[in-house]
Amino acid sequence: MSPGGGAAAPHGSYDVIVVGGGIAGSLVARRLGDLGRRVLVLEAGPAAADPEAGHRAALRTYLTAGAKVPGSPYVPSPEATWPEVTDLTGLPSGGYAAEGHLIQRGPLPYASGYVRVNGGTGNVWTGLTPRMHPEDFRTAEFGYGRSWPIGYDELEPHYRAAEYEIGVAADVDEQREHVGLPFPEEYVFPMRALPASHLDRIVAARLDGRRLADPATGDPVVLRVTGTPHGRNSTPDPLYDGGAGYVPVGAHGRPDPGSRCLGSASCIPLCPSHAKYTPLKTQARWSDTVTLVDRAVVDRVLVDGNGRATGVEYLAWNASGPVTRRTVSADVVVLAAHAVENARLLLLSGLANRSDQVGRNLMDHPVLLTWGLLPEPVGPYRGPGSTSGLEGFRFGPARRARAPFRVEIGNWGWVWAKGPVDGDVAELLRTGGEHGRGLFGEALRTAVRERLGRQFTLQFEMEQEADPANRVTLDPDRRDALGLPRPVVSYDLSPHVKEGMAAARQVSDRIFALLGAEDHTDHPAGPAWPGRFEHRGTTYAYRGAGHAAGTHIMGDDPATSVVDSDQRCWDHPGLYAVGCGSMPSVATSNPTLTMAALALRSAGAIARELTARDRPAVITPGDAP
Amino acid sequence: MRQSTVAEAWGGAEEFVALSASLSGFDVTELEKTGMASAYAEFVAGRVGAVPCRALRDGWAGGRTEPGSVGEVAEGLDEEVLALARAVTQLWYTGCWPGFAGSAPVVVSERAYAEGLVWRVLGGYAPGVGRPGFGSWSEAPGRVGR
Repeated sequence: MSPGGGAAAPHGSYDVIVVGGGIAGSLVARRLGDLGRRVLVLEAGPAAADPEAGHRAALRTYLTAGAKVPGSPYVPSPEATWPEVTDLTGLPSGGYAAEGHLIQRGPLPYASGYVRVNGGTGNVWTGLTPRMHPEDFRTAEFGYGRSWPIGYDELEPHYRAAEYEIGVAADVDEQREHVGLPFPEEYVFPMRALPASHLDRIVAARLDGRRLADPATGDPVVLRVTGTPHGRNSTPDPLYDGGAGYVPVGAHGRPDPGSRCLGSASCIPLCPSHAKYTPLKTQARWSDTVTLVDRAVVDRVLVDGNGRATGVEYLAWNASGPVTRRTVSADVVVLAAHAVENARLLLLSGLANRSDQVGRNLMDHPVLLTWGLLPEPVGPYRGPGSTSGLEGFRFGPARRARAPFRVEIGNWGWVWAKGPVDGDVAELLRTGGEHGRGLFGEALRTAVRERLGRQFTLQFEMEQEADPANRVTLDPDRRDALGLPRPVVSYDLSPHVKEGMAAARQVSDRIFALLGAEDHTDHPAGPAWPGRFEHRGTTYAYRGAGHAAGTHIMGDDPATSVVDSDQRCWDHPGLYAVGCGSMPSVATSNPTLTMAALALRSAGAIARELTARDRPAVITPGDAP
Repeated sequence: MRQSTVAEAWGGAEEFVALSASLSGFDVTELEKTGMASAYAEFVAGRVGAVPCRALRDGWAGGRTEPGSVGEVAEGLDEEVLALARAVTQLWYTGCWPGFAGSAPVVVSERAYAEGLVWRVLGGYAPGVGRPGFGSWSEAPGRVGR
């Protein structure tokens, strides 16, 4: 990679401009760079000049942050702010208030954030890499949402390519048997499955093989604790790639056969030991033909008279100098700036919107959390945030009646539900003891052990279907520090999603009973629960999973979709919008792997488009005068 | 807020650790081992001034009847002193000075975060700090209350 260096002006001409240095953009740049293409990556946020120094600074910032939120390793610059989960506050009367980068105007809050630094949200992702199931591509057949113009079979080779690039650890037989995923006969993942947590084993011992009636259909669902594929280093599988094996990628993209997850329990937001994949690993392996320019906020995509993309305009900023406007041209422009920011950029440019679908169909995984105490110590706050889940509620006819969901077993105590352990300690100090005025001394120490050592959480990740009313727009009257209209989100949950939450709550009750667990789930109106609603007389609350999707939705008809199955904008040759924004359905799997597979597939399409352009015009003898 | 010396506030570093032992349920040796004792004595004195610290010291000593009943001391303390007792204990358990008297929470230092007693109680490490090793999370939790 050629370092661009601050707000340095790029030189010369480019084959491809990629907007955004996150997972999707970094993978596209790598593929095209390896083919010798000149690629310019424009990243809104800052990049560390020295990756090791940048890593250490991020770790230090995180460890000393008073609020350990997903973006806490990074300090946002005024020029490139991002929404953080703490921007939302629940009101005592119910309802919510929002501040910060995203303006919220929906009945319910869009409860996810993202990050605008080099590497993007891919720095802070949890590192779970399940595939979508074949039926997940055909949602509309179940009477809700949208289907994909391509199916599992078309994406399957790209899934394998993404599993190589990210470095996925999983057990192929388990994925086949308990998730129902088809794989080529000889396939194994690059690395063997990560060990299950002690908590997973306790839960499996009590649940495996038990049957629950699906709350929506009454059909039996067999419970089975199943390992989740991970984008973090485990033991390489010598059988990978026909026996060629796999070498884990460690710090700064270097091959490191010994790199393993060391159990630091901080995958979100930062893996101290470089075992988790981040796009910085991919960037470190870019060819010399790829140039990164950081602190470059693209605010306009340029097209010629025929609608073909010709380049972009961007605002370059640095710590000291004035903001300057620059223009750069290329044959192909790839937007890879996150679902919300991609939509914002298309809307700012007034492009790709023949279908009126740009910014619409915003999806995420609204997450119902239930939490409690098991009878015995479970060893929480160790290892990856989740190592296993329950897959039985993701598929089948029940999804007609309710949103399907995946159940993650949460290894980190109650942190997602109630914040870091500081809150538990504070509560015992404030209200513990016989007199309700607080515990101290040995009594406090014992209570902390009892309270924290048995904590666990179930994380029910709902599929949210594409709904054009859930959308990103712009507010020209409210602008960011660069003078650009800020994104506005209108968001709500459908009855289908709410039915999923209600079913999940019932499933949770049954599971807690089987586990012998004390249920401590409680989401009172007030600051901690901005996402709260009533459904059939019961109050539910949700968190956002940070899985924004759908804002430049893919389809097979230019009248109803923004991009085609190659993520090429229907209206503009040479313009691609890649990322989760293209997904017609977000399924119940964490979407990063699918996004990466799509990005690699698009890189192939872009390469073919560039090759076609290179080919000299054919002159046949008959054409001579 | 005015800067106060440890001596003014607590009577000395040793007195601060003794008080902290009583508040936290960890003995003096365990607290000393964290390496945070003098840093916390200075930090708290600097944050709140000597007078409330002395009030806590006096109130705590006065209310304490016998070892093991320290939790009941809270009953006899006035709200301001009790609030400081909670804040000092929270600091020892998490390395974070809580949003006290309207201020934002402050993690005293990287080391303070790493040395939070809560992780000792659980037999593990503060998130992002430890490197317990591949697969360590599969084992039954470490000796609790180490």
